[in-house]
Amino acid sequence: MLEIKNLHVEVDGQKILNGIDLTVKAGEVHAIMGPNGSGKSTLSYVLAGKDEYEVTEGSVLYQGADLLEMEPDERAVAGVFLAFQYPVEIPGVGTMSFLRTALNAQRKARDEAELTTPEFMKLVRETAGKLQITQDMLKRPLNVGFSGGEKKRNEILQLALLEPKLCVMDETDSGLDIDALRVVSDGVNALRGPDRSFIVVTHYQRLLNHIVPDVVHVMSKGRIARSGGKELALELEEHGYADYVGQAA
Amino acid sequence: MTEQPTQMRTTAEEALAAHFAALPADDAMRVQRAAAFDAFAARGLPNRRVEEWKYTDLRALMRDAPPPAEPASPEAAQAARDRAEVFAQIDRARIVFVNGYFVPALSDMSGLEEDIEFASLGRFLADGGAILDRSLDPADAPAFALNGAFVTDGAVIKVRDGAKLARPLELVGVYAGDEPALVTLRHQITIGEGAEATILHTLAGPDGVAYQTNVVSEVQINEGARLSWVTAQEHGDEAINLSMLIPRLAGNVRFDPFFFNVGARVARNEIHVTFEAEHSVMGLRGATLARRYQHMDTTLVATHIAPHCGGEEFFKSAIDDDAHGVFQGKIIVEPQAQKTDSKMMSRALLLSDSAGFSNKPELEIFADDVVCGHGATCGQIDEQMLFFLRSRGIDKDQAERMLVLAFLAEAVEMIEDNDAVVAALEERTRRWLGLEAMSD
Repeated sequence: MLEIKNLHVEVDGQKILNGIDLTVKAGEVHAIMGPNGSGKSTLSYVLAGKDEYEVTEGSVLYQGADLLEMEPDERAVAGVFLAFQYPVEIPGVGTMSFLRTALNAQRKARDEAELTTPEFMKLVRETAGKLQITQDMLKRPLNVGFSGGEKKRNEILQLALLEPKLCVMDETDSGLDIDALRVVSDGVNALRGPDRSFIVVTHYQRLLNHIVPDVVHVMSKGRIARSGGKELALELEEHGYADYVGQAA
Repeated sequence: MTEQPTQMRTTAEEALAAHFAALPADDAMRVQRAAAFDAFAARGLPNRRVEEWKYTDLRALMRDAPPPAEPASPEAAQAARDRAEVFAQIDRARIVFVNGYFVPALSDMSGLEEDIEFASLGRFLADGGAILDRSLDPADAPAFALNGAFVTDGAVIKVRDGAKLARPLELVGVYAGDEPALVTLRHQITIGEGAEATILHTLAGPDGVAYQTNVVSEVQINEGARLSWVTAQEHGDEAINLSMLIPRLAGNVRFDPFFFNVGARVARNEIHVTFEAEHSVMGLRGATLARRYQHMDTTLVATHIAPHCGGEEFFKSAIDDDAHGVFQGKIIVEPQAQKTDSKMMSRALLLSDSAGFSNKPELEIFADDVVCGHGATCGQIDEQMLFFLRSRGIDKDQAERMLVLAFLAEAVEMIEDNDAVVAALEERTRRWLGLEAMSD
């Protein structure tokens, strides 16, 4: 699914990622943990194609294609999805209109038929209901006036509708209370399957109680310092990141 | 005052003088017209050294002046009216002027007979009874002076006291020719006490023809009346459009004008509003959409004579290619106009490196207990929003269009209690952006 080799990334001339190697197979859930400033969010943005990040070395293959050569919208059409840590508020763009535009843009780019209005409405209503997203939220401009939890649920709604193959979840748990965390995690778990992979970026172990990973990586100073099974997350919860913060890059 | 040194006349000024001299000598309005033209000729076309025209150098922008238009053939008139279709989906009455002349056959005032009185200004121009110098001093307002000199017709409308118009009234001003010509209209409208009306003002004409239009709308809004006024300016891409709205507000009036500007090569839209009595409120909004070489100027002068009035002005402009936008907003608060509450905001979105926008707010406040605020911004498309949309599979071009639509829609959606008008203008904005129509 995804093969990252020796990835080096700079922002404004500052080195953030210093040689990431990561392979994610179809159907796997990888958790990426690490202290603040270790480069977790940068990795998420680089995979989604944000343009202020400069890749100075290394490669990223997604389903055999060079992901770094693709525009952000081409990546999305190919099945890459970033759930934002801070979903953007867009006044003047209605949530429904946005969802439909995104869904149909992807379908069109893949030579699939666009959904009719009734088909689309039915799909959104069903999916939104499972995520406890109200009709009122869907009527508002995109993320405008949404609480932190509502924004995150809205991200999962997009994830569910767009059915991507590689989902990068950037601190999806931040700002969520226990109930919202459960709703969001249930939403993600329902989407797990043999053809879909997840990279779950998180600072805290608690999300991983709900979304149980196959592999856990610890990032520090722009590299993956250690990888292990789900028990690694529990170990981190107990000992903290102190062992990794002091490590040389 | 000393005599101004004789300035070399421009080609356009020479042409205007020649066209004026060629008007019929037996015109009943000759004296008033001559006074207006002389007031214009004394200073000529305004240039950038005239403060009010600093960003719209009409002397440079108006290279020539075409002769007054002849009435159009019935077929051409109907075709031109049918092209002015921005409000086509709205059930409305229509008063149609083509080439500067009222066309009864294309107009329809049914349903409003009880509520309005209408006459064409042409009648009063013919018998010498029209009054053309009432609302502004022609010496200070060159476009107004030219209007008085060349006006051919217009709508004289009285909405009766207490009348509530069952449907909007559209004033259509279109040009139907394929040769350059000058179209000059003057509307004189009175909204009776306690009356409620929506007036749509549609301006349109063909692309590729260097015609010029000059439309002045004088609107007296009487005690307790409510008026919603929506101008949609869609002139052809070579046209020069000078338009002025001159409302005078009595007390307890609610006045909501909206200006949707998308057409013409050069468009100067002036609003001169006077608050003459207490507790009147104006919510003035607009959206300007400019591209290619368009020059679009909105100039507001709000004069508060009476206390306890409020004004809110909110303009949004999207400027692309080599186009240039201008917003000038002057608020004058006379010494006795205490408790004036006024807010003014102009926001521009520049969509190319060579697009430009000039903002000029001016406050002249002579009262000491007032709240007057103004703000102006000029920016580009938000990169975070753009990335978010793209990350969901929407390509860059479409994502940008969506964000421009969202930006402009914020102004359009401020039109209150008139969903059909909002929908019509959003649809027109979509068309400008090349976005598909909303099917739901």
